[in-house]
Amino acid sequence: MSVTVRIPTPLRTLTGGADEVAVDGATVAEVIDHLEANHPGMKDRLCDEKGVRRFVNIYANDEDIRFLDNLETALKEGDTLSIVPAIAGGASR
Amino acid sequence: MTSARRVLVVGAGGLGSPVLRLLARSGVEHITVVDDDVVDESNLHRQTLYTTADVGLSKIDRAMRVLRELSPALSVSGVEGRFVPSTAIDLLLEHTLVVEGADNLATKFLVADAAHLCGVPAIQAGAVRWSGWALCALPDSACLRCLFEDIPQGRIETCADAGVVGPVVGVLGGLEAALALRVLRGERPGGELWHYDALRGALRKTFVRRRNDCPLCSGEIQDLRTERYTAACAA
Repeated sequence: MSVTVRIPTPLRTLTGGADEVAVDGATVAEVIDHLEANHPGMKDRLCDEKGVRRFVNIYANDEDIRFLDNLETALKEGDTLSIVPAIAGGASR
Repeated sequence: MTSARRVLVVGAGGLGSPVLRLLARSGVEHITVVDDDVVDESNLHRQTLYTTADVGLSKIDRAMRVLRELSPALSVSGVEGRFVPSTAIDLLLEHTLVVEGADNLATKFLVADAAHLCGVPAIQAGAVRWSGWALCALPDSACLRCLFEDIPQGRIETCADAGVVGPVVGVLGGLEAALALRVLRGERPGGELWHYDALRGALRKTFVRRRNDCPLCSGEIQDLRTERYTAACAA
């Protein structure tokens, strides 16, 4: 089963610049494991020992996975995962 | 006394520039601008309030002058300095809403906390490189801590080290101004989270729900103790 993962710009250095990658997985956790296998370093940027890092949001389609089953959220063919990291920016300081 | 359309803008840089320009002629009665910096030539591509003639000058002075030229009837004041815990509450209580365009996450969380404690709507945004987000937090909606929980430590890019493309902050600043005007006219876009990715040409809206364990919405955070913000910055 393949889902589309939208990669935010800060993480595109790990995907060779790709803004979207197709990844297999029946749950968010499986997708992240496959992401890590294909793009080493990705899992560490998304997760810590407690689960998804607190300054990273992952949306399954348009729903925050924290309001679903978190890393065990089930996915189906054609679903989209979006990664939204906390970023700052605006003023010069 | 708080009147109907008094807006506090934290940061007069890449996000603040379009916010200030757009709000100046949109029926806002008063704008207070907070920034501690001077105009830097390397930032002119995204800080559209300023010109090369302004390089080295106070951003607050220049921003206030531009706003007065844009809208002579607009009441404008400036606070030259950082937005800090010791003055945040007093500043917030004088305004109807706050629009935040700071470039560091400690200030973003401080604005979120202060706004929530004061019951003031907060429009916030962040941008790095080619993408970013904008969030509307009303006193009874999800807040920045519902979204990102706490000030991240390490591994977080800011536009100071990763850079940001000028049009990205232009779009996100425009979105912030639109959210601000919607709030001022009585709409309730609380929890709206806008994502903009200039490289993909994608603009998307999602909705942030209030988290039961959010330390701000649950009442756990009841003050602005400085170490909550400085400890994260120093880490």
